[in-house]
Amino acid sequence: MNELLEVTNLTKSFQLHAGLFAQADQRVYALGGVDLTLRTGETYGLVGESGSGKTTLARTLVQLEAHERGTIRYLSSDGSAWEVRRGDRRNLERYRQEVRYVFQDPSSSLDPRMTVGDLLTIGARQRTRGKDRAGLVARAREGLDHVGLRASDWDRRPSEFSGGQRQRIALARALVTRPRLLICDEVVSALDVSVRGQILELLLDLKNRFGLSMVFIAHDLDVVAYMADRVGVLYGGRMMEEAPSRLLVEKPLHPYTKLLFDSAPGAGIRSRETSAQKLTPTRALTGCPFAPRCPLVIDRCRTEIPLPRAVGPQSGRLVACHRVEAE
Amino acid sequence: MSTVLSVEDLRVTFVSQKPPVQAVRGVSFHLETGECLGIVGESGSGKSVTAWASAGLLGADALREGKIVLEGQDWAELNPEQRRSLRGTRVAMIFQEPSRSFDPIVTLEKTFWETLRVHRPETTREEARTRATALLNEVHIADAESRLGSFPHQFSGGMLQRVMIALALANDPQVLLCDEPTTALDVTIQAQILALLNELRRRRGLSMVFISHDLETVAQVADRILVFYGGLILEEAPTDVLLSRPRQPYTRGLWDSRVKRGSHYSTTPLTLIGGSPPDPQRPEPGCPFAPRCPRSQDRCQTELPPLEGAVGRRHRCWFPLEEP
Repeated sequence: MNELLEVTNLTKSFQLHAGLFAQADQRVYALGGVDLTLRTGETYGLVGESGSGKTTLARTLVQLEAHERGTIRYLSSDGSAWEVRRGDRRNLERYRQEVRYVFQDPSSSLDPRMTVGDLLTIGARQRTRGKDRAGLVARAREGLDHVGLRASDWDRRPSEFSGGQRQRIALARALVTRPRLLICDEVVSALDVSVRGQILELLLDLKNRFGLSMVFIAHDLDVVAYMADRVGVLYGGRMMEEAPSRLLVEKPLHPYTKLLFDSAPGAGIRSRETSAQKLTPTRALTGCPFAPRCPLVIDRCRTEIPLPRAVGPQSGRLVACHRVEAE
Repeated sequence: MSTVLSVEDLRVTFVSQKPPVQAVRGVSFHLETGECLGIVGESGSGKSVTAWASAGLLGADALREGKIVLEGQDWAELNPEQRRSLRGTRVAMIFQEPSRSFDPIVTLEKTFWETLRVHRPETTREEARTRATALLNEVHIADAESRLGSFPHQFSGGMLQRVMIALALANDPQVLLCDEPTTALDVTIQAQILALLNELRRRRGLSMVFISHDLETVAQVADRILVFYGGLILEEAPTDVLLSRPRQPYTRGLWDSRVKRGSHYSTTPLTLIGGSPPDPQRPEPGCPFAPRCPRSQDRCQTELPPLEGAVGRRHRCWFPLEEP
């Protein structure tokens, strides 16, 4: 098996209201059955707007959220494959070392009171209960070097660093456990434009150097298409289109992917939508989540959920749309 | 064309921090009637503070020097009552993250009523309803009348930004200052809001200042662009000139470092600007971009270059890029 992660039918919903006035049946369907395969060494890009489920998908992949239905199968470093589940503590601990999550905003994901040295080592120190301290510190110091920080930064605190440098600290922290897969959730969104490129380049460098696989999540389609080998486009908790990055840029097929490309600031095309709203699915869907905004909508789109199917021979492209012809 | 807003040698320092934050360090520009002026800059470049100062909104801890003249009236010469009467009727402002600008427990109807009564205290509730409905229609909010009873949380971010634009226009200002109005929004909604601003600008003949950290976004709406860095203007030019023939290396770097459509890591390396933006509490004596500039020489580190050139096409650089 060449697949590092195999995700099938991943489903997750949240209760909309909590507390005394909760309406029991009001739920937000964040993920409505997502399939996804990640090959070893590959970067998989995920795009979607807020509410599309991309962050929920990422958090479920590292089990910060438990999924309700579906499976996540992981091919471990020792060659054994197992299903990632909350109850399986032995395997989960190992999984969490090999699969690391990097957050969007380093100013809130790094404890301001801790020094860089503590930030890098505290997680591992607790897990190993203090054993092999010297080895851990050596690995963490190496990590600092890998992300382009100085050894003298070890005793400084996050507030003494700029946003870009803080994101470097967050990456060094992820590297300490020698991960095989990095899940990068909007890691450049909070950064200044002139610093963004530096972090993207660092990610490419780390990927090369350590043979990392990556899930790269962002709302900027051009950045995702640049970084990823394959890209999945999420809307309303469902995969609208998935294709090799180049193919998707050359010829987006799903109407939502087209809208995303046309809306990007660089496209220069002014919006034709006057006031369409995004939709947060609070009921189980009966049709395509994009149907209310879709320029090509027909009756069938509202009553029948389109399933992802292959379009084009051996193109590796999947499209979930009733209006896109299978070639 | 006549000038509606002119800013002369504006300096703003926030003295509550030690050392003081020198947010704006000498900025001069003007806005013509009917024009859209773009301001692009990173966080800490002084772009928002300049806009706040232009609307007379700075707080007591801000030390302000220089002159801001709005339709012939100098903010510094007005008393608080006169300033109040200018805000809303002459100049209005919209902000990033519209949800933070609304009182969460006040309905839209009441918000509009209050806004209208600031300048016309005799406005009745009925008049306010009619006016609010018309304004909401103007910003394309469907079913406007029935939504007047709604609270802010019942709107999405994009819808709320539309409401905020409607509120800003309630007292028919001539100048609209937009401070990152699309930044917190999704790309498809961003495009809608930009299209709306363009439409309103044409229909109402608004003069606009549009601020963003994203040069591509600014380029979509602005006729002319100011590039801010380290509290200073580094370059000013008409939009197409700025993008095709920048003189300041920072402008070129900013434009080149965007990820271009269709580029891929396997074939195209990224164009980078090294280093990080300057610290406004410890400004360098020379050009603020010098520590990161590929063309930097000794003089750049020690001596601040002046903003040179004709009005509308200025740059601040000792060794500017050649005009092709």
